[in-house]
Amino acid sequence: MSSHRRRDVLKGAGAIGVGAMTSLAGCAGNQGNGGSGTISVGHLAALSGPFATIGNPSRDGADLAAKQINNSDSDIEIDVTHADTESSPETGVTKARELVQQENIDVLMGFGSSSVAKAVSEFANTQDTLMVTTIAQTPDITTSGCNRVTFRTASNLDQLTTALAQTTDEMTDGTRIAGILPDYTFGQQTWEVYQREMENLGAEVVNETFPSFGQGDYQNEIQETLNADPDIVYTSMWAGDLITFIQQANGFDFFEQIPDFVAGSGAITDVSRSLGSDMQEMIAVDRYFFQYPDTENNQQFVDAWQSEYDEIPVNVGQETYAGVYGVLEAANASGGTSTDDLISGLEGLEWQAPEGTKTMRAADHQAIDDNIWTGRVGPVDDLDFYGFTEMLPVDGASVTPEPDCDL
Amino acid sequence: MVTLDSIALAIVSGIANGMLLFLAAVGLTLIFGVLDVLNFAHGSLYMLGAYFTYFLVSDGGLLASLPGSFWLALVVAPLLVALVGVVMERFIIRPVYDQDHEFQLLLTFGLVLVIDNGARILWGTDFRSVSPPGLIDFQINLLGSGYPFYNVFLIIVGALAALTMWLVFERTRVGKIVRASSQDRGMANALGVNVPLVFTGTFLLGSLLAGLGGALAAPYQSIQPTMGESIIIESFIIVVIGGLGSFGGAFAGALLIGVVNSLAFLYLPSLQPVIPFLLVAVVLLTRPAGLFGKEVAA
Repeated sequence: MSSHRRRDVLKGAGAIGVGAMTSLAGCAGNQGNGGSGTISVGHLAALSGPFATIGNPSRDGADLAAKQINNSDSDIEIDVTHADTESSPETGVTKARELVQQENIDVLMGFGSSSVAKAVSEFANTQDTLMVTTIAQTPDITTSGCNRVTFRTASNLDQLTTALAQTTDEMTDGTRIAGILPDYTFGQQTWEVYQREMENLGAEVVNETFPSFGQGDYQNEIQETLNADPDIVYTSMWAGDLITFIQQANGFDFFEQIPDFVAGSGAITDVSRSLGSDMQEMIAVDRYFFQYPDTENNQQFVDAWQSEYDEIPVNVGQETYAGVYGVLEAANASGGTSTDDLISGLEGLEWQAPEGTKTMRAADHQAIDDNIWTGRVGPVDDLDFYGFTEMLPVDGASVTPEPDCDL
Repeated sequence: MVTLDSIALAIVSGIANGMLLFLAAVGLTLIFGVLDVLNFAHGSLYMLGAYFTYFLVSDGGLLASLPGSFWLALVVAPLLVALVGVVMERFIIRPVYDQDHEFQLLLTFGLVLVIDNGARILWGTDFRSVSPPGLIDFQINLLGSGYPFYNVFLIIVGALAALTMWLVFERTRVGKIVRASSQDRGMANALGVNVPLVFTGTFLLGSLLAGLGGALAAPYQSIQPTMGESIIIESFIIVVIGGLGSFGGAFAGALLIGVVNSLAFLYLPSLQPVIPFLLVAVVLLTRPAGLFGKEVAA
């Protein structure tokens, strides 16, 4: 799809406001327990340690959605309990068990780390408890490891990285690509997709390195990458690692020598806020960036977030917020709040999130977003951190592979 | 392709990184050698050094408006960390001097939780970074490649710190007293040495060096409350390889880990993360006391 058509899609998206979303709740059917009552959500994410930068905004998104719903005339109330996974699959399952067996929660939600999401997904299936992943990106939980109770309401790594590769192709001229990938599942899976898409678009891989997560010293990777003389350098490092990498690469004038730098997570504002004047321009993808889309719905969300937390919302905050609304809409659609009701309500559901329409594909329980936000990140007027200087939203459906799941 | 030039550059980068590791590890080994305490919270002192530097030089920081703020922070931040170290030694660690190492480890591990979580509560989980000072933010030509001078600066500072410490321990009366206290507390005490003062001084010096390491890391790595946890593991590896309590061992161990990591990147990238642990295993099997294990505190 050309960038112009994408923009047209963008204009039409997300016209329904938060008020409209909540008012829908009043139209719920009367089957099951009558589309009323309380849905208790157990929000599980890393709330301590280095991954808390993801878990905390996710927590805030769940709280804000619950507060709005409970203050509206919705017949359904949302009750949120938070638990800290400490980024460990074992702790995640332990906490999930406590929430399900002791707190009797109806929905497990969140999951910043893919390994935690996979472990809890298996557990949730044994308990017949709905699990809504709003953060973790691994395709596994909606492909090879998919199951009846597991849903993901956000775009996954495959969709995001394919969109990023397409935008790289549109925005750059070079064909020689080098990858610097964190040496764990996320880094390997993103590289697999990016490399495959770029090769399909005519690029060749001239170098790849796999630094450990949290390695702290990337000088060898930087030198080797420079020696390979690539046109495009791709990395899926994020947050602290990406910041350290950029700091050290600056020392080598890396960005003066590499025509285009592509960092999947480079648009997330923690990177440019931390680096300040040491930040570099790059091509990036984001599930959500608060300035897009330019709709009333999104503006209401951003205003609500700012008045609640006195800061701008980040991607994971919006995703978990949208996940809570997805569950509410599923209850409204099916007219009940049991696990079966919520599952049948979610399958095929279309609902409005601040970032636009989300469609839950019934075949694999993977959401398809109207737009995946990609473009060039750089200094933007009125922001004291980097934003998108050029935005090329990609139609989510166009980068979503066929379902590969046996439910 | 691995060329001679790329090997040489990898070695230089390995030495630079090794110097940061040395500054973190040397305090750990020094405090063990003299006080016989394994201070698990040593990495947290390194983290505090980086944070103090950030808060001194960032916008609105105490030193931000002064010219050469980074250079001042390089002195002030380690001194502040040393102060934290002295308070820690005097009021928390001193009562467990005569306990088993298990008690000390538990206590100092508790300190890690308190300090790291304190940092998280006080300063949040946002990543921070510090710009390298303009004076040394340039490149030199090394074997035909542009190479950051900051690395050379790290090597110079690390080498100067090591040389100064060696001179103090080997050539001065203070050094003799410290070595005597570490070898036989009771005898030193009987000979009129103020052993508690020596212990506090040693803790101060070790903390100061960890703070210096953290301050030097600030323009080089992202700053986060958990950054001490990874450095303490590397530091333990280094002091075990070098020999617990050995100053020369910490120096050799740090450079060895830095350089071996760099060379492993060129030749055995998939094994790189496990190589430090393999080295520890080999050293423990062949020389259980570490490479320089017979020395006691310098």
